[in-house]
Amino acid sequence: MTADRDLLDALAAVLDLVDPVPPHLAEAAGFHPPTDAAPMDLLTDSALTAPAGVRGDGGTRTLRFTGPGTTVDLRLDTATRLGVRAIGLVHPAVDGSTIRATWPDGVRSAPVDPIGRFHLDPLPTGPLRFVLRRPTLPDLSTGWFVQ
Amino acid sequence: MRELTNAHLVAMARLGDEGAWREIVQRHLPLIWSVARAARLREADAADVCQCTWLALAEHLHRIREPARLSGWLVTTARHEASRVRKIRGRELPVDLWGPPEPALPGPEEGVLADDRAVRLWRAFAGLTDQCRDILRMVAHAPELSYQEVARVLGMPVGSLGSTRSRCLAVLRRRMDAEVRV
Repeated sequence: MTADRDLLDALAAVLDLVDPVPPHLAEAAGFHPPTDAAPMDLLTDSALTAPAGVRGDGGTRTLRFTGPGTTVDLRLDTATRLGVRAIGLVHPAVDGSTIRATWPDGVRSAPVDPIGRFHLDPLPTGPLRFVLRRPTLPDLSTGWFVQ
Repeated sequence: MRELTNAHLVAMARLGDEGAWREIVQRHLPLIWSVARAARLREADAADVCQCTWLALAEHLHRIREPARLSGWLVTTARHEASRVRKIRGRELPVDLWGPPEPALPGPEEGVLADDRAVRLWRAFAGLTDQCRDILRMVAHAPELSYQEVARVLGMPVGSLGSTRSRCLAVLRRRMDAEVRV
């Protein structure tokens, strides 16, 4: 068993040398305090259901999140490396709501219109999270995901 | 800090101890990086998956039911995210069709390996099946993971993990030895 462990330790060392962790990753992993918003569940994600290797319609991904009494549909377009365009629909719509996209070092907000539509553009590729803020109801948040 | 268990570190990080958080990251970064790269992600995408995994951990720190299983939780989270990123990026057209292709896997950059034994070990590992590489990568980087956790993360029956792990190690050892004779 010890011989196995020695070999595995040697393997770990070799893997770290051949494909080292980029040094900036440890620094980028600072603690981000959790949001107070209630978490939404991811109901569907086209990245999970679309067959791999099949090119969709221009790098479009659709996701549906649900929270208490609320659904958020999100469509993310990554047509270019310049950024991500997000359009979405909240139902039911609540007057005065805003949607906020967060990434590790930035944030962008947009109003949700009376029908429930919103539009955020441009957003960076990489980890993203969306928070729905409503005047009289608790905030709702998606989990973090990479786009 | 190094001698503390994952469960202790989670408890301290929950109270806002930054040192405990850094130790969690330091302890698991090679494993999480390796999981992301095993999904054949480019460096930039693997870096995004790592960062997303830490963000998800910070968000779930207070909700993780079994802190002792932190390593398994992190690996599962990173694997799910890496597989989604793999599918998203797989659908995109390359930006520069004429640029140099990026290798799908880290190439055998043997120049960084100082001694002959390391080179033989790397060559033998690179020639293993995907399943063997997945298992050995995980048990090499995270010795604390139980067979149950490794099996759950890799979607294998726990009953066969022990024998598969032994077989993979035996093949690895045999091929290392074979390299000597070449």
